[in-house]
Amino acid sequence: MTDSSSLCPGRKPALLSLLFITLFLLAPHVAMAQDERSERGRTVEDAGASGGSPGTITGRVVGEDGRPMNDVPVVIYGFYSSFAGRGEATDSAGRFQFKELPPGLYGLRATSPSLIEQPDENRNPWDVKYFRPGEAAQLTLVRGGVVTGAVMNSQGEPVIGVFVRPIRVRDVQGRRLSMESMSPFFMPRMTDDRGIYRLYGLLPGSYLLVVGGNNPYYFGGGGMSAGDVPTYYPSSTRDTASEVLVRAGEETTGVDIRYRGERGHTVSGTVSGINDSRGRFGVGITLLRAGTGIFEGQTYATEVDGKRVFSLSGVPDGEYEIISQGNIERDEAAASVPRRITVRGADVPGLQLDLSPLSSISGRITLEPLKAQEGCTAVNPQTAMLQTLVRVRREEQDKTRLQPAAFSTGGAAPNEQGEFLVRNLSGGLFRMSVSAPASDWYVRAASFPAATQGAKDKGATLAPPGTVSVKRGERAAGINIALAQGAASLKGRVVAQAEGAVIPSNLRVYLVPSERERADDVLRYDEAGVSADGSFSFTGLAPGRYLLLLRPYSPPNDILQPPRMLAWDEEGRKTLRREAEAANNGLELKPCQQLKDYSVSFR
Amino acid sequence: MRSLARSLFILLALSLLPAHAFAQTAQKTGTGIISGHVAIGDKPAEGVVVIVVPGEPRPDRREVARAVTDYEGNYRLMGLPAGRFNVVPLAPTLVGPADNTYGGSGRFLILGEGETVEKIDFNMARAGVITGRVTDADGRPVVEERLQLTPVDNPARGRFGGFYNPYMYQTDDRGVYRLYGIPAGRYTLSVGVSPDESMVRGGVVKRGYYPRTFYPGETDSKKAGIIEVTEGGEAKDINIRLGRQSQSFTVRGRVVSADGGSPVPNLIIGYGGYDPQQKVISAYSYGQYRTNARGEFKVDGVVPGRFAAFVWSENENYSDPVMFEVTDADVSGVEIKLKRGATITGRIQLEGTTDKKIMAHLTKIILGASVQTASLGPPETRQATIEPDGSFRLTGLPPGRAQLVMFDMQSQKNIRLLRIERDGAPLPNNIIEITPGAEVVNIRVIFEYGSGTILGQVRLENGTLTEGARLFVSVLKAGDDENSQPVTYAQADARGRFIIDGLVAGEYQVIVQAQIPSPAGQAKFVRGKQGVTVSNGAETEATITLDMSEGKEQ
Repeated sequence: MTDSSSLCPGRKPALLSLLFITLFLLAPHVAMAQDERSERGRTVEDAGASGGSPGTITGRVVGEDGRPMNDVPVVIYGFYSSFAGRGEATDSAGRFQFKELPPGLYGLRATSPSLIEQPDENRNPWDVKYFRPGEAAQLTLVRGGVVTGAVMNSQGEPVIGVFVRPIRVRDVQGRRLSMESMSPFFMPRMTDDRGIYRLYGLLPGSYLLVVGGNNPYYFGGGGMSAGDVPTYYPSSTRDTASEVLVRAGEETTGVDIRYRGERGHTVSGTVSGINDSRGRFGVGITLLRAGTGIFEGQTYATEVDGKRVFSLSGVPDGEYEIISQGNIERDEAAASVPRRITVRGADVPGLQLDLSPLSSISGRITLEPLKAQEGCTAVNPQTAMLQTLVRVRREEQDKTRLQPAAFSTGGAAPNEQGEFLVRNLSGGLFRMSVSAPASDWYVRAASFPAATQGAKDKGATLAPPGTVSVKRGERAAGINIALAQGAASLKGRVVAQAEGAVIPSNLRVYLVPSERERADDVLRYDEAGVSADGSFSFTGLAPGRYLLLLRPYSPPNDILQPPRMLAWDEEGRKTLRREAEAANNGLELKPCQQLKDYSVSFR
Repeated sequence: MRSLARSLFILLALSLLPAHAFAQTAQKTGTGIISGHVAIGDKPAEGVVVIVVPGEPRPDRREVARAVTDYEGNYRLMGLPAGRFNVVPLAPTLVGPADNTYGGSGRFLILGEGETVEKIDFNMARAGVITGRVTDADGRPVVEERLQLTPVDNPARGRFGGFYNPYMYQTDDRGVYRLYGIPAGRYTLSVGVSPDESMVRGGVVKRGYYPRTFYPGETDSKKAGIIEVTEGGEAKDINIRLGRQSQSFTVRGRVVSADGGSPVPNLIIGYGGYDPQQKVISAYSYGQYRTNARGEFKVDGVVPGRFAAFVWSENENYSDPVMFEVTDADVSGVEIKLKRGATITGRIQLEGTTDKKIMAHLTKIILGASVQTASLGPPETRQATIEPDGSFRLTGLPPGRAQLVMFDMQSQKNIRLLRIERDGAPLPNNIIEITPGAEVVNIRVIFEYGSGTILGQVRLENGTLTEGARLFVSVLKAGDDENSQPVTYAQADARGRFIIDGLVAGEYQVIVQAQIPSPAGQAKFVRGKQGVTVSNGAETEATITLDMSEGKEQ
């Protein structure tokens, strides 16, 4: 989990665990990431050289002006590891240092009120940023955005003591954001005795502002707005709400909300199917807008007369999906199948949500190191294994109807033997990605057991290359992934052939395997964007012969889904091959070769 | 481990969780009505939200009904089922009578089926506002710094518990704060760490901290500026200028095993402020400090004071807390010895029922052993769950007097710990004497299940209850000393009614104590008692008389 909560006590009371679990399921956590080309820190010493022994991650925290920031708390947490998390404050030179870290992958976060980590607009939001022992990090903090205004009722009187909650729906480039469900956990603030609210430390982008509704944050009572339907800025329902643009370091004032104060309905019922006689684990209930994944409310089941009951108030008329989720064991969750309900002018009582086991995907990673040679780094296989990350993400089958985001992503770090287990997944088609332990490693081969082998534990069925299909409640086992050392890199530049010609901003470079027999080997395809100066860069490429292709790319206006590589689909591979063969730009990459200054002309 | 704290933490977590986060299925409805009037002084208060919440600290404490006062200040809550409720005005800018330190939780009321209760009135006053800005030595805003408001006199009024703004007592990104709903009175306002508090700072801490500074910029509490808050008034520009930050210190130490002296890795270290007079460890923090491979630990951000460090263990081991003092330098060489603790094993037994459902509930009960040790520090508390076969095992206990207690997160009030037997003989006060590393076996913990009920009524003679007064009921076994641990507690409602259920058949003594706040400060207490015979599965009526002309101030 990417949160500093990993710094909390080793054992948490069940209820708090539930809260964390719920946050884990709904918050922007590492499992969301898909692209295996993760951003990495600058290597100052080779991680492999330290062997399996603990290492150090160092870094600096700087401000917008590049000056070091003194005494800023920095938190380090492990990715899918048992690492308990640590924290320390920077020194006067802005430096921090985490020593004696076991081999693995780590995330870093600097926290200072009203400041945010400098957003990188070019970064693929699906990337995860992690560090390995031996690496150094630079964290830049800038002032977040501010939104302020007043909440008034229809008579123009202040509405006092209600939470105003920002929901980030677009990034600063206007691209629709995925997983809005994470936003409810972002900093609600309460109106004061004049009805005034002030939200600060906001990431740049477009926001909806919501007041009231079923609010999971109210600590200490029913709350002033309990049972009221949510009012969205300026005085709307969700569907007609206006967006508020927030820029880093800027203050948007006068964002006044006219509170509607209409009473909503109550959705209630019981949760069954959890075998937890000790009541160790809590059960959460989430209400989502049907077909959108938009979060509408959340509550917790409580045990009354041996039954787990729940109730969500302040629900406006509409179509919803309701899900309950809880833990069977510490690391293993169960969930109910999303159930569609309609609220129309009345309460919806008596729902029964049945928790059932989720799916898992497991397998083994093998490492194929090379003998030390030019360009290749020496490795310690144990360390390398622990610095590998397996991630899975559900492929949406029906792009017109979004499924609830819960249990659609997962990840795992393999153990020293290379075994990995990704738990807590809904059923569906999952695309797998592997983050290699270092830039000169690549995924050489991946094999998935076919459904026809059909042993009891093997829920995997035939699926497109790079994906695993698993039915809900089943365990897909026996996936073998071979990581090989010897990956090459390629840096180059696109040069316009005609003088004065402009390189289009949507140009993309594609690599297609030359060998016809490799035509369906998804692992041998890659693609990269072209910067404004024409430069492009690939790392982690399997050695071999390629055809290079320049091709315009239409970026999705919407990042509800992570970017898809063209080669993932059969049709895409055919197109790429046809065009690449016509263009006939061949190149060969030797193991660990770092090919630079490669020039390709654009017509 | 110090599970007592953890249990308290759980309770705290429960009480802090949103009332409606805990929910009851399909809200029960009925035909009961509660009505009353809300006034500000002698004027009706229009538009005040009045809510009804369950009157007991059960997890399903969700709002049952809500109404808003009309232009005459009247409210009427309808469709109520029979039950025990609190009626609470939710008015962030009004204050009610101060009936306890944290503000009252409204008026407690036991409502019968289809009953109409009138005149549940609230006399409120307008609260005041304190607002200002906190700046550092260079005049820059101090962001998200906590503020502490301290009344100079005992305020006559308090805030109602139904409303709480978690962010109010801290500055915003401009260093600005605004405290509202503050009862009229005189206050001091401060920021920072008190020099005589031995304060433990949790989480990832900064090295720098502000020594406690009172408005307008005084570190000496005697020179603290007095802030006057009037009814409906606003104390503006209550700005606090802070001096330079002080630097905290780092404490280093290690954990070694008591028998061989070898370092013990990967242990969680806790530390807390130590009060040498009381010999107790106050608020403590744990979780973010662990011993490394060499058994060493490091605690950053420690402010001057007296502290004790200990191992937060949940297994067979424990440590005696080790005291250290931080004055003006880092501290090193704090050595904590890890010892193997004693164990208590045994079985539980339930009397009073053979109902399988109730028996099954026993596995949800947590058995705790609270050990009063000879060393400094709070009683060491360990917990154990009860296995389906009725066995339990408590481990890691230090030597001392262990008292067994039960925690029931689901508040099945009708299951109680009755007595403890060792080899068939009852142990007085449920206490087991533990010697170092002992293995105490053959302990039988006997719970009882009760289904008797007392329907009580408090009758007042020679006086009435003033607004804000409360009636507390405690039930003792007949013949028990009045200072001994009661079987259970309850609160009598606005009409003097109370219900105590889940009692095992037998003779009891019911004691009612009225707590009457006085504007002068000290509350007055009046006591009355009555013997009651309870039968299983039956309701017994009881009337307890209080002579209001008696009573003493405490």
